[in-house]
Order: sequence, then structure tokens, then C-alpha cells
Amino acid sequence: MVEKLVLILTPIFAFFVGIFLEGFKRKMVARIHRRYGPPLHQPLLDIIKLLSKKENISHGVMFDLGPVIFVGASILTVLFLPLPHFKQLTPYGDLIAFLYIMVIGSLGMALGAGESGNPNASIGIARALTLMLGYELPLIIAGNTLVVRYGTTDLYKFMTLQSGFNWNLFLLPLTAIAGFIATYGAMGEHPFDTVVAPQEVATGPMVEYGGKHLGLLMIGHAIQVYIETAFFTILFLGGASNIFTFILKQLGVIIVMTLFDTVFPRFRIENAVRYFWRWPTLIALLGLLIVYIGGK
Amino acid sequence: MNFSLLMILLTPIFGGLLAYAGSALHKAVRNIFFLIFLILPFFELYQYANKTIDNFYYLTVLGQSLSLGINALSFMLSLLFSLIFLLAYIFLLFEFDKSEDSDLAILEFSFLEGAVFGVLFARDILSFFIFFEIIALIIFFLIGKGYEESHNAQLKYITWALIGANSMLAAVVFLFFKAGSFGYAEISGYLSTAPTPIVLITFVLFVIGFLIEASIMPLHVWAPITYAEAPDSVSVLLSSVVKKVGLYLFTIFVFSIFGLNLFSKIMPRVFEAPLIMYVLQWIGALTIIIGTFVAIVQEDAKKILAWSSIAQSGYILLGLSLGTPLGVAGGLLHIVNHSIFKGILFFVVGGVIYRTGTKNLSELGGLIKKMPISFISMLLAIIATAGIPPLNGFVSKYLIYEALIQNKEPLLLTIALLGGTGSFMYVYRLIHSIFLGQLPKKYEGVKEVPILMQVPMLVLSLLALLFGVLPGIPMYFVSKAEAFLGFDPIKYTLTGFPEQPGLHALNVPIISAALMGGFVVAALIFYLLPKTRSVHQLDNYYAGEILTEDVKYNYSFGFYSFFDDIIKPFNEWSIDRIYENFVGFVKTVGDYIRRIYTGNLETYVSLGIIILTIFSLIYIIGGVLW
Amino acid sequence: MVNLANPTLLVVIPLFFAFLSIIISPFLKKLIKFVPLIVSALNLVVIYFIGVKVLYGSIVLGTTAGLNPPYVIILAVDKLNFIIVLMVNVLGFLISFYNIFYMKEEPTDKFHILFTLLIMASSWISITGDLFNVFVAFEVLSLSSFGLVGYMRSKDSIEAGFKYVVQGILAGSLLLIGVVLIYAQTGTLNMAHIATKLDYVGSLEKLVPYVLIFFGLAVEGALFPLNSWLPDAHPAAPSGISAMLSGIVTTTAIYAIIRVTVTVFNYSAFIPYLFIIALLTLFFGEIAAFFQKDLKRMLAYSTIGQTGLFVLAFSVGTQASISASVAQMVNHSFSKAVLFLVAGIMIEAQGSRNIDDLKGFGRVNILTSILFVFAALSLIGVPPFFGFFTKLAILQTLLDFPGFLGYLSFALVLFAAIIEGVYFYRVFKILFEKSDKNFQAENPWLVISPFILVLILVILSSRPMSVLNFTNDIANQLIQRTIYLTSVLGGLK
Repeated sequence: MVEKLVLILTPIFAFFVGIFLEGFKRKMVARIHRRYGPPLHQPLLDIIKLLSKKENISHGVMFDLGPVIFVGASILTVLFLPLPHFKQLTPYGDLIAFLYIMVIGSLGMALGAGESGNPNASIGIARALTLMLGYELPLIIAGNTLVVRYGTTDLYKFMTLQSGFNWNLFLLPLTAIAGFIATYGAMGEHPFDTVVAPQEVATGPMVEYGGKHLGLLMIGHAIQVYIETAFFTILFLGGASNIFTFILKQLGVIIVMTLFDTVFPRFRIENAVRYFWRWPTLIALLGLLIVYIGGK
Repeated sequence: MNFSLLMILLTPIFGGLLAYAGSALHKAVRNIFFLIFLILPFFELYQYANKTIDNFYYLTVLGQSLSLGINALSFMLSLLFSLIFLLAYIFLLFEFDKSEDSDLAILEFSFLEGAVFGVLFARDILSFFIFFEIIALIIFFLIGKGYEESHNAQLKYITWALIGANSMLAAVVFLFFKAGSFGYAEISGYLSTAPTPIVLITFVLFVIGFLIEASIMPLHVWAPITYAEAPDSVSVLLSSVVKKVGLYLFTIFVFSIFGLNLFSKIMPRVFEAPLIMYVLQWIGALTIIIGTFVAIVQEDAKKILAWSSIAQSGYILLGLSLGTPLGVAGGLLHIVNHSIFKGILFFVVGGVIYRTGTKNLSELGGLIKKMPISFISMLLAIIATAGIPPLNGFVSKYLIYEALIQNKEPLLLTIALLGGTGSFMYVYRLIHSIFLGQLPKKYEGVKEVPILMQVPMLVLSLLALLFGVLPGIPMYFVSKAEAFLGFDPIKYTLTGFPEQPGLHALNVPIISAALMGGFVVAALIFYLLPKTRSVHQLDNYYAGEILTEDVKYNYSFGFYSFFDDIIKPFNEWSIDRIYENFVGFVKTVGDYIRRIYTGNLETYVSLGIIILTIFSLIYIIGGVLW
Repeated sequence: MVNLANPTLLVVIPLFFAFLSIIISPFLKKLIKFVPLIVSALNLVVIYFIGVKVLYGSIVLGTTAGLNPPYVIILAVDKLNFIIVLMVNVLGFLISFYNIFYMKEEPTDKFHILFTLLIMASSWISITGDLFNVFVAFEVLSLSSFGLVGYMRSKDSIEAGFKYVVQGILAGSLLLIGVVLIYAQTGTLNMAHIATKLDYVGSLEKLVPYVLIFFGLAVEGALFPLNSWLPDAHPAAPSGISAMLSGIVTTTAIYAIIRVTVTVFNYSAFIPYLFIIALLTLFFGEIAAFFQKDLKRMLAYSTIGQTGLFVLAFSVGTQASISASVAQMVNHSFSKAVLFLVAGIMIEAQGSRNIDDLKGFGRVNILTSILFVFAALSLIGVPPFFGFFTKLAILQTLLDFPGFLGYLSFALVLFAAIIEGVYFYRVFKILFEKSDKNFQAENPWLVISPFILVLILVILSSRPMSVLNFTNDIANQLIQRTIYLTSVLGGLK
């Protein structure tokens, strides 16, 4: 019963954690820029503002459904991530299923943006999908390394097997580095922000979205921030024994990411993919080799 | 009623002949005649559910009885293929409604179905070969009724088909010579004690033939142009039926005739599989990755589907050649699933071509408003193609991935997963360029395809959804087929798979329910908020510029041109080019050989005189030379 | 009651009609064109009566004078002879029917007389039991076919005819020298008699005449390297004649080689060489055919390749291989005849021999094209056509050949099958390609003969095993040569 209740509340929890992480990031970026920065709950205010707009324009049914699918699928994805002490839906799908569930949202988003007919949106999506092909390679190899090491694909087991300080970050540093770079790429931070690239494609997929559409997209984005950081935490930072440690670890991930984000310029898309296929992949393969040779 | 297997085989042929005769009366007579004879096989097949029949003799050749039989695997596939034939036929009627070839196409169509049944029912190496050759022959003629380039495709197809056929024929004759019988059982018995080289050579010869038909790298060269240029209903058959016939034979030969035990006996095991199976796994993986990457940069809708089809058969080969219950289940399930979702894609693209007259992606766009049903069908199909839950492509790919994990093959798993990611790219390209974006002015008047033409795509879409959400339905057949092949079938439930060694539990309905829940929440947020206002498609942010109808601003040509740049280094050594160089070389050599016939009388006469002189000399000198 | 089961009639009837028509041609020019038809029909009647006896295993003999064998010209029909002479006359009958409508430019009387002679000579070769008769018949055959090849009097047909003449004479002289040498050594010309006496002749003395006779026959039989007349002669000749040359003349020559090799010389030492020659013939023929742009030339090279194929099968030297070889001979004769006849119709319809000009022909003249497709499929050996089963039998026997060469030939035959398939399928493709070209409609009279031939092929396809069983009987009878020898030598006592 408790489990079911937790299951239902998880999306809301994820949303607020995501908002918090986003807000924290904005604050941190501001401080690095020597600004004061907005308050922590600024993303929430943004969303409320967007959702309450009276004027919403639409380019068609799919255009409307895009954000809906994005948010819906993000909620689904959250449910497949385990929480401390809670398996959530992991008994019904494992790492592989998770990888595929994760893309439903992006697909919906892509379809919606595509219907707007704005070339900027289409270019943004083309870049997003290409970038995905880039960062998936090291991510898959890193994931495989864990699968080989633990002999299971269950996300909850990953978490429990790393309890204590058996973090993969310490045990498999190479894999963790590759996984980090890949996750970082998935977040679309500098230097991998070619997808939105305001100066080039005018925020890409989002270009035509405004009002409640954009509000939904931002809700989805907040949940996605939670998902990415939680995913990395579960795989490499040993999960957590209680919910606060969990959030703390996510916060740590965000802090490191933000540090990188603020100092890098932007890759061109080809170079981004080439980069992903070169260094992180090599590191990940090395990590895989070590695990493979060094006994399972 | 009791129907013999031969009757099932002859039913469509008979129907085709009747329809051809009926076409003299009226088109409707023809259509209905044939439709009836395409529905009949379902009833005839019904009595063979859960039956294994092995010896139904129908012909005697070289003192050997040729026999037909049916088993769980061929039953499953014949049911599936009957359905696809029926749907493709409905589609064909519309596609050929203005062509003068329609009568002939129907006749060939019927023979094709008969031949496909023949291969499925064959229980000896000669019968299957005969029917397989007939398939190639008929496909050759059917391709020729397609688009402009179809005649080049015909030649390319038949060249490869002949290479495959003769390679198989070599193995057939060789095995008959050694074993003295054609029957699968006898051949299998002979092979179990045969010397290693014979086993290997005949296996490779057979597999070349099968894999050509299954368009596996590096034997795929014919496939892209053929799939793209054939008539759309024939492309469906090529991808959903003929390719699967090749893979069916591969399955039967590997597991039932040669057998994994035989391979384990004669060669070392690598990664829990015999060496040759391991090589096949890599071939499958390379097919996946190359097929996917090439599909991404195509500009022609049907070419994308063709390359995608190549890549997907890579998955099937990979799954099958793992040789574990999990992998084989995945491979077989993917045979079924791929037939379904690739069928939808070809039907939809065919419908779009039917209405717009082009398959060039950069000329299309924005058809979602005009053809919503097609859009939904294609949406479901691309979700399935990309292997995303809850559509059917997910389950089979999932099984293959899990099987790879079970065999501890991280590299192959990486390639397979990366191919999955790559498939998002091309399927999005496909749906975006056809249905999303700007609607060109010339297609303002385009209508949705006729209702009867929607039937094929809708039926298959429903199946894709059903088999995706409730994977237990196809698994019922697959596990029986697996049992027939001699594996312990994997455990399954209606909703997915329970926890078992090597396989994490999966429950698709729960995923779907959670997804629906998410949607409902999001939709509630969305639709409770103020209403939206629809605007014209030109009402867009375009950096201050004002757009007009006649400007084409849709981003659809060179969609992934930057990706093209990334893979450019690999384009240098494309397989096609290797073959082209080889063919060029052979042609040069052949041309020189041809010149032996100089056409010059002096040469010929002097040749004759030289021979005469030599023999006279030998005779005159007598035994001195000896 | 005249004994109709007399092989002599098969030679006498055509000869009689040929002379008769020369005499009556000044008066009844229009009727001459029916002569070959009548002749082959009469021959078929005789063959029927002979066949009844032959099929029960006896060897039917005919002599020209009252003396006893071996000192007499003797005609002997066993099962092999029977099937060859049957093919000669069936094809002769159908082709002469085709010729009636095909040859339009009057006067055609000489053409039909020559054609009668061609039928006569071919029948004669296929039934004669006398080595010198083989030579004489071949001379008659060559003379009539020289005339027929050059009959059109166009530049290339005269050139082709001339090439044919020169090589034919060369062949004739080789053959003659061989026969003379044999006669010098054995003092007899009767095949059976020679065969019994050759056992006492040294190997070299046997080798040289055999090789000479072989090469003499190989010119007509289109074996490499003496087949260079064929690619010129076949395309240049009127299509009916091409069909006859390809389907009959080559076959009879190969028959003669088989007869001489097995029955007369009982020669196994030469077989590896024959094997290699056949392999080369097959290989070069198919390669050359692949590169042709001229339809009839392509078919001509294909004939070379096919000849190579069945000689290859024969030269394995077992009973099964001879059986397969004869079956393939039957398949080739019928299907190649159809192809040439249909090619004639096509060329007439479009006025050019170029394959590419045929684009869209099949969309106008569907029946003709389907006949072409059926015959070609049988020739390539696509199941379920008859050719497939013969190819299967051939492939199977090739594995009997000892050593590496057997496997090599096995692979090469399959390779050749691919090439052959590709160039025939290319023609199919062009036939049914879309084009807006206008073709004359086919002349229904011309289609009848190829249609009947295709019907025969379809019947053969439906009962392939009965044919192969029959050819197996033939091979059996051929290999047990003592039966032939004793019945010829003692048959008329």
C-alpha cells in the first residue's frame, strides 16, 4: 500500500527535486558570473507564469500532443527508477527497458516540434537525434560494463549492490567517467548544447512553443533533470540509503555539471559526435576491458 | 473437411488461375475470386494447429519421394504470411488499378503464395529448393512492374538470387550424392557422422543462399534498389515474406538439420556458441549497424525502409545465431514482429505515393492534416521499428538484448543497442519528412487513401499494438516453434515474461498503464488550461522574415547531412563499391576471353590445320614420341 | 504388306522426295514448300513402327543390299538412335511448318529442297551403323547447311556461309582421314565390325584415327576450339535454319561422337581430355554469350555452352552420366529450337537483331514472349521445368568424376548456370520493360510450332522422371556394347 502511494507521489517528488536542482543551478551559474541570481524557486514561478497565459497558439494536434507526451513519458520514466527502499516499477522492467522508455518523451517532443513546420525546430531535432547517437555509445558501453560486473540488469539491485562505499565511482573510475560524460551530453549542457543553441537555431525544438505548451515542456524538463541525475546516482554513486542522501548526491552531480557548463563554449554537432565516439568511448571500452579481464 | 497440405499449397495458385480467367469477364469477378482463394488458406490451415506432420509424399524424383510436412514453426509463419498476402493483395488492387499489368500481377502473386507455402511445408532439400527458385523467378517478374529504375533492380536481384540458388543447388546435389536421400531427417542423420569439411562446406553454401534472400550483409547489395523500385505491395512481400522465408530456412537448417550439437562437436566454442555461429552473430551485428547508418542518410522513402529492413534482419540473424532459448525466441518473435511493422511502413509509404506520386522525401511534407489515418499507422509502426514500448518491436528486441547479456557479449550488445538508437533517427526522418512540417502547395488537394486501402495498415497496426502490449499471444506460437526446434521454450505469460535465468521480468501492460497514467495527468494539465488557437502553418517565427506560400522552407533535404560527414570516412570502402570493382574486373577478363572468337577465318583455319598437322606428324613419326 | 519398321526408309523417303521435287519444281513451285513437312511426317510414321520394336529392347536393322553384315551398308536403330532420329524428325516437322510461313521471298523451292536434304542427312547420321556413311552423311549435311546459311544472300550471311564452308571442309577432311586410317587397319567400315577388330590394334594406331574423327565431328558438334563457325553461321541463317542447326545438327554430331567413342572405340583413355575440352567449351561459350548484344548471336553462343554441358556429362563415362547427357540433349534441342524460332518472330517484328531494341515487345506480343520465357527457363534449368531435372542429374554425375577435376567442373557448371541465367533473365527484363515502341503483331501461324514445342517441354516437365528413366535405359543399352555388336553382326543371318 505504502509502495503504491509512493509510486503515485514519485512524479510530484521528482518534479520538485528537478525544480530545486534547476533553481540551484541557475543560482550557481549566476554566482560564477558574479551576479546575485534569481531565487531558488524561480523555475517554478516561470512554469506558473507560462501555464497561466491566456493566449496559446497551436499548429495542429500533434503540436499539442508533443508536450503532453513529453510530460507523460517523463512521468513513466520516473516510475522505473528505484528510490531508496522502494523498488517502484523496476520488477517489471530493467535497464534495457528503461533505456527505451526514456526515449518515448523525446520522441513525442520531436513529433510535436516537427509539426510546427519551423525549420529551426526540425534542425534542432535532427541535431538532438544525432547527438543522441553520439552519447549513447559510451553510455551503452558503461552500462554494459556494470551489467557484466553485476550479472544483472535490475536497477534496484545495482543500488543495493553498491551499498556501503562500494560506489562504482571508486571501483570502476574509468566507466564512471565515461558514464558521466555521456550523461552530461544527454543533459545538453555546454559544450553539447547544439540542440537548443539559441544563437543558431533559436532554441531549436522549442522555437514555436509558448504559453502552456512551453509550461508543460518545462515541467517535463524538470523531471528529466531529476531522471538524468538520479540515473547517474543509481549507476555510479551507489544510490542511497535514504532520500536525503539521494538528493544530496544528485545535487553533487549537478554542481559538477554546472562547473563544466559555465566554462565551455559550444561544439559543432559533427565534432560533438566525433568527440563522444572518441574519448568517452575509449575510456568506457578500457573500463569494460578491465572488468572483463579482471574477473567478474 | 480434411485438407491436405498440397491442397493448401495449390489453393492460391488455383485461385490465381481462376481469377486470371475471370478477368476476361470483369475486374470485380477477378478480384472477388482471388480474395476468396486468399482467405481459404486460413481455414485450411486451421486443422493443422498443434500438429506435426512429416511425410506427405507428392512426387518422386531420382528415385526419392519428395514430401511435405508442417510443424509449429511453419504453421506460425504460414498463418502470418497468409495474412500479409491477403493484405498486400488488397493493396495491390489499388496500386495497379490504372495499370494494364494488374491481371498478370495477380497471377504471379498467386503463384508466389503457393511457392511460399511450398518452402514452408517442404520436408526435403529438393522440394524447398524448387519452391525457393520459383519464388525468385516470380519476384523477378513482379519487381519489373514497379518504378522507373525497377528494371535495373530486376537484373541485380536475379543475379544475386541465381548466385544464391546455385550455391544452394551445389549443397543439395552434394548432400544427395553423399547421403543418397533428400529428406531432412535422412540428411540430418547423414550429417551427424559426416566428415567436418563436408559439414562446413555444405552449411556455408546453404547459408549463402538463405542470407542472400534475407539480405544480410555483405550479400545485401541487391536489396536497397529492389525494395525501393519494386511496386509497393511487392516491397511488402519482399520484406515481410520472402526475407522471412530465407530466415525460416536458416532456422530450420541450423537447428533442425545441422544442429548445434553437431557444430559444437566439430569446432571450438566461443562465447558459449560454436565458432561458426559466433561468426554469424558478428555478421548480424554488422548488418545492424551498417544498415542503420546507411538508412539514416537516405533521401528516398522506400530506400530508408529498405535499409531499415536490412538492419532489422540483422537483429533476427543475431538473435537466431545466439543459439540459446532466449536468443532464438527473440529472433523468431522478431521475424513475426518485423513482418508486421515493416508491412505497415511499406503500406503507408505506398499509400502516400499512391496519393502524391512521389517517394522523394524532400518533395513531401505536412500530410498529417490530409492523411491522419496513415499518420497514426505510421506512428505506431515507427515506434515499433525503433523498439520502443509498448509496441511489438520492443519485446523481440528486448529478448535479443537479454540473450546477449546472458551470453556475456558486451560488444555485440553495444552494437545492437546503438543500432536501436540509430533507428530513431531514420524513423523520425521518415515520419517528419512525409507527415510533419510544411505542406507543399501542390498537395493541398490530397485526400486520405481509400478506406479499403486503409484496411491493410490498420489491421497490421492493431496487431502491432496487440502483440506489443500482450506479447504472450505471439509467444504462444513462438514457444511452440522453439520446442519443435529442440529448445526448452522460455517461460512467458500473457503480459510478458516472469523472472527466469538470464531474463529480467517484463510486464508490458504495466508499462503501458503507467504511460497512459502519465498521459492522462499531462493531458489534464494541458486541456484544463485556456484553449489554444490554431494558426496557419506560415505563422511562424522566422527571424523577422515574412514567409509566403511559394517559398519552400521545410527542412527536409539532407536532414542528417552532418551525420553524413561523420560517417564519410567509412563510405570510402562501401561493400557496393567492392562488388562493383570486382564486377568490372570480371567483365574485363570476360571480355578478353570472349575474344577467343575473333571472327577471323584465318585464325580458325590455321588452328584446324595446326591440329591436323600435329596429328599427322605423330602418326608419321609413329611411336617415336611415345 | 511393306515392312514399315525399316530404317532404310528414313533415308530413302527424304532422298526420293528431294529428287522428286527437283524435277517437279519448275512446274509446281508453290507446292515445294510442303515437301519437308510431308517428308518428316512420313518419317515419323516409320519411326513410330520402329519405335514400337526398339522400346521392347530389340535393335532394328536395315540393309541396302542383299548381302549379310558386315559386308553391307547397314542402318541400325537402338534406343539412342531412336531418340535422336525422333528428335530430328519432330523438330524437322515443326520447323518446316514454321518455314512455310517464315520464308516469304519467292522462289523458295531451293530452300525447301535443301531443308529436305538436311532432314535426310541428319536422320541418316542418327541411324547409320557404318563409319563411312557417317562421313558421307556429314558431307551431305554440311553441303545443305552451307546453302541454307548463305540462303539470304546478305553480306553477313554469305560471309558466315563461307566460314562455315571452309571449316566444314576441314572437318570433312579430318573425318575422312580418320575413316581411311581405320579402314587401313581393320579392313572394314561397319562400326560393329570395326569394334570387334579394334581389340587387336595397338593403342597409338587407335588413338590417331580416333582423334581425327573426333575433331572432324567436333567441328559440327561445336566443341572448343573448333566451333568458331557457329557464332557467325547461326545468326546469319534464317531463324528456322538456326533452330535446326542448333537443335539438330549439333546434337547429331555429338551423337556421332558418343557412338564412335563408346561403341566403336570403347575408348576411356581419351575421356579426361574430352572432359577438359567440354569444360572449356562450356566456359567460353557462356562467357561469350554473356557479352552479346545480338539476340541470335547470344543464343548461338549459348548453344556452344550447352553443348559443352552435355558433352561434359557424357565424358564422365558412367551410365548415369550418359543418361543425364542424353536427357540434357533432349532438353537443349527442344528449348533452343523454340528460342530460335521465337527469336525469328521477334526479329521480324522489330527489324533488328539487337536485344535492346526489343524493349516492350512482351507487352504487345505476350504469347511469343511467354514461349521464349518458358523455353529459356527450361534451358537454364529453373525448377520445375524439365531442364532443372536434367541439370540435377548432370551435377550429380559430375561428382562421380574422380579427383579434383570433378569438383572443379561441378563448381564451373554452377558458375556457368549463373551466367546463363543472368543473360537470359536480362532478355526477359527487356522484353517486359515499359516502352512506347510499336511492334507488328505476331503472325499466329508462326507461333504454332514453338507453341507445340513448348507444350512438349511442359509435358516433359510434368513427367521428368519417366524421361530420365528412359534415358537411363538408353545409357544402359549403350554401355552394354556387346548387345549392339552381336545383334548388328548376327542380326540378319
